[in-house]
Amino acid sequence: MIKISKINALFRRIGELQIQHRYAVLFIFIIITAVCSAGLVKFKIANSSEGWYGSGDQLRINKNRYESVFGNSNSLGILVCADDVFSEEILTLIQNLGDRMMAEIPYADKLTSLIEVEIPVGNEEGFEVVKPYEKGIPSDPEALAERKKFIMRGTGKTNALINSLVNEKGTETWITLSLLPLEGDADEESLEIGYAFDDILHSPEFNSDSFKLYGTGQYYADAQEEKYEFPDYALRVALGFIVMVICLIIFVRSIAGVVIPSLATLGAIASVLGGMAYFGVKADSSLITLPILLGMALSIGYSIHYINMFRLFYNRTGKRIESAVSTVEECGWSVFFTVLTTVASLISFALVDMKPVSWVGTTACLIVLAVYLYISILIPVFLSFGKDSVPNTKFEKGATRVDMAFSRWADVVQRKLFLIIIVSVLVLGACIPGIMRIEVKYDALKTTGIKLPHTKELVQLIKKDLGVQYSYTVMIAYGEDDIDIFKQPEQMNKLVEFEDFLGQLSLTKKSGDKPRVDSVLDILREMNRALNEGQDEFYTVPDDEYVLAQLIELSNIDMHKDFSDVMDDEFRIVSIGVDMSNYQSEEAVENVRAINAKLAELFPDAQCCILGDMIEFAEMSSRMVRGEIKSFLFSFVVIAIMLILAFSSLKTGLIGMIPNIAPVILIAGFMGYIGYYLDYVTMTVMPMILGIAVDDTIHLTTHLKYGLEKHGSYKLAMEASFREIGKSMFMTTAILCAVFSVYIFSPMNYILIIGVLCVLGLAGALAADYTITPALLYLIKPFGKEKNKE
Amino acid sequence: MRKISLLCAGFILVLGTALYAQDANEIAKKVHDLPDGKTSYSEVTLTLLDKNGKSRVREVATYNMKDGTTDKSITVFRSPKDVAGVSYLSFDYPDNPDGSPKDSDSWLYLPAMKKVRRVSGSSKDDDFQGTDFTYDDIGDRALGKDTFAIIGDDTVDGRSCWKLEYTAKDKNAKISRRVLWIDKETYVTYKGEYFDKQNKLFKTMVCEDIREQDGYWTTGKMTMTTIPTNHTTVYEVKEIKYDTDINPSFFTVSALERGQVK
Repeated sequence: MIKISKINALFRRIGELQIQHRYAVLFIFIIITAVCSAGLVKFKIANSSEGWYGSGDQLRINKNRYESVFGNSNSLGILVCADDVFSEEILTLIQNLGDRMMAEIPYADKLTSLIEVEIPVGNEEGFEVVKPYEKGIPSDPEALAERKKFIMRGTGKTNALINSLVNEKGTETWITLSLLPLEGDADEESLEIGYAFDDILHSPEFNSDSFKLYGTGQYYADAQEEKYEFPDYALRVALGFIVMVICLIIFVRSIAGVVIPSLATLGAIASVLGGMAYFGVKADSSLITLPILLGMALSIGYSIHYINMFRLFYNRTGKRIESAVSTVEECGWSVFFTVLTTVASLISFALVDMKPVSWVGTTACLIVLAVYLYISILIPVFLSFGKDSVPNTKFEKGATRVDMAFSRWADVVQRKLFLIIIVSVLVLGACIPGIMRIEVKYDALKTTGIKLPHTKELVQLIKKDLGVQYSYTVMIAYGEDDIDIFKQPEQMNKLVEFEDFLGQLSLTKKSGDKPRVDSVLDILREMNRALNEGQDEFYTVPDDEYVLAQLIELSNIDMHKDFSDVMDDEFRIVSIGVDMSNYQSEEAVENVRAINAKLAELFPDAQCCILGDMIEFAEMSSRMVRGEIKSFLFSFVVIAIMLILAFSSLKTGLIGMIPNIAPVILIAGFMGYIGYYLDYVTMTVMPMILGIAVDDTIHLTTHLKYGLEKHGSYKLAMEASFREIGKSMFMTTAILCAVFSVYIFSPMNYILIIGVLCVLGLAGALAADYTITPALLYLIKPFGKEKNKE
Repeated sequence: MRKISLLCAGFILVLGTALYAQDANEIAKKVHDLPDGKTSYSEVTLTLLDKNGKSRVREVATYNMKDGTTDKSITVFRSPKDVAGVSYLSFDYPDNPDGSPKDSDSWLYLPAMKKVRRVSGSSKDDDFQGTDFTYDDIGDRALGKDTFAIIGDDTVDGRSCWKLEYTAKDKNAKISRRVLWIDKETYVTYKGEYFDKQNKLFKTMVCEDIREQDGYWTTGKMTMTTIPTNHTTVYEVKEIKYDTDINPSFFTVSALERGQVK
């Protein structure tokens, strides 16, 4: 085992220095805190538009490539639902909404709605691009009916608008606003756009019982998240802080013991978040509370260690400065070691190539380290101020009844050794089928839950004929040497085949019988029909190369705005949009695989990529599995190495790991049985619990080792260990659970789930340390034979 | 006394504004009515540059003729080869007596289909042939669509210019405000800035190679850049002839149908 005495001597030296230069230390901390905290002015939260993937990620590169050709991939939409969307009232509403959207929403580019729609029409006389309501919305019922008949002519198969812009019953219609590329800070501007849209959507003039409006679009979702979800994050942090203060009041019972750790914790967290803001690091919106609450929870534990140790020395000696130095000497290494194990588990998140997870890993590590530094340096410094007093040993407590009960529990464990091991194996074994049932899946709605107003609306929207929650885009890009390649009928026929293929995929949304797939083919078919006297048999893509080439050029010129959304100006890149019916992770992965195979078959020489929800979620699923395994294994190996080094014994180190896997198995089994998905939120819990749970194992094993040296018998050593630290193990776990329990009352599902899993994991870890850890230590006797000093 | 001073000041202000407004209207009218010949023939290269610097070139020939108050024109694509021969015939009419614009008549000839189709419904606010110019930018925007104001003076290419502001009467117009730099001597436009509904700069125009040819002021090169997309179109007049002999029968649907105009 590492020579603790040498390490303690080092920490004593540190303690002496920090007390000796306490004014300088305080001054430095105040300056650091002030400077770093000032960075909070620059503190920004990245919203969902930024996505889960970094700038070097292939998914992001593909998105940038798409946007360099087709512009902003985000748009805003309003689904208008009414008895008849072709009535004068609703058409006026659509016009007014559109006018306000174009006038008030920054970066507004192009509006698509029943009022704005341009329909190429052919007749015997010629070819015409008709805007049905260009000369105003008629009041005359006959004129209204005539225009409705014109727009709804044909069926979904021969009319691109039916079941796309408007449903076949004429009760739902979309107003869509495409946007220009953003120029400044994407997070700020997306919120500005989202709020401008929200203002329009919820203004009193658009509130009526005769229609219902549903807003969609990523920027709108960002604003809604900030509006409805951020207040809950603030509430969770505030509640966490209150719980922290209550815990300190209960366990420390002095003003200084409450105020100093509270201020130190706030200072540490503010400094880290402010410091990160200086470097332009944006916080992740969904996981922002996790490192903050973790920092608070751990700081209570560290503070209690330092304050109680100080009291012990101070009561014994009556000398403040000496007591403060001794506190650092005694607590320094043990607390620092638990910090190291926690950091080791958290840093493993940095290995996951998803921004929210890597952000939470980095931030939590920095916060834990900062909290440790603030607590371990400031508490002894503050406690060293004041007058000395006479020693007062009457406050030194002997073992209480509770301590003795814990001591007796050690005896019970020894007597029921095999029963405990069998029960533990059975309980953990029962978790295995649950683990097999864990679904790797991200579902935004299920993650957030449906208790908040914006998610309630989303649920209603999805149920509509035209309602869509998820969509994706396929981009087929030929190289610069292949200009005009899509003017070849062969390529266009392949595109037709590919579009049909996409329409048949299991996750493709269908409105009526019509798959929601949009591409340049719709425009070409409409134009071809319009140029051929409006005859429906020409609602096709022509086979003749010369005709096709001119049709494409003409479409590009005459319907440039619509055309430029789906094909580039060199006619070598196309974009195909697909709306999804729902999201199932396994199906998504399967669909993505099928799409890639089809693309390779039809367009082997093109660079093809899938963008949007489908690929992001499918990719997320696989990255979550890889990330979880990588992160968990990393923390497991690092913590095992640390235990092996700490105990200077391979056997003890590995045995120490066994009880710590137990809570992880428990969490995973619980997730499987209860139906929690493994997603980027829940995947952070397991390595974190491993890092925290191992602390008690270290304490227990270390005490057992000392006890064995002192008493010579495992039984007596275990009884002594439980008597000395059994209660404090319970206390620290209770504090951690209390802090994380503030999550359980959140209206957002994923916050609630983190709370449940953390509390379960921590309780499971404590149970394991009360049962499996002592049982294994009894059984394996890692510190050699008993000397029987009894 | 004080009241009289205020009244005088107010009167001068009102009179000054009226005079200034009158000047602006006059200037706008003179710009609009700059002579460009009874007929003209030009060959134009349109170079479209995207934000990545990639360019596409289209070559067109245009024939123009004034027939009474009607402006007749034919645009024939020369390249790219897929669209060579595609032609547009257009008749533009003066504004209605109430100042509202009157719809133009247009026909399209597609050699691949060997058909002429009547084209209607396209607005002058639309892009001109998929470029950064609108039909209004290329042609003469009806005076009735805007109100005018002189917002300053400036010098461009050594020419003393008025900064003439055109504000669209249509509140829903995509371009709500144009500022054009008008040469005080010739009334030729030297540059322009176009603002969207939120008064953000949306497009810029630079005019070059401005020369007098056959007694008519001619702009040889216009570069229009759309700011949000960073897309540019360069409109270069390669050849232009004024008052040249153009067969009036060119400007007919039947001539278009026979593919007579090349």
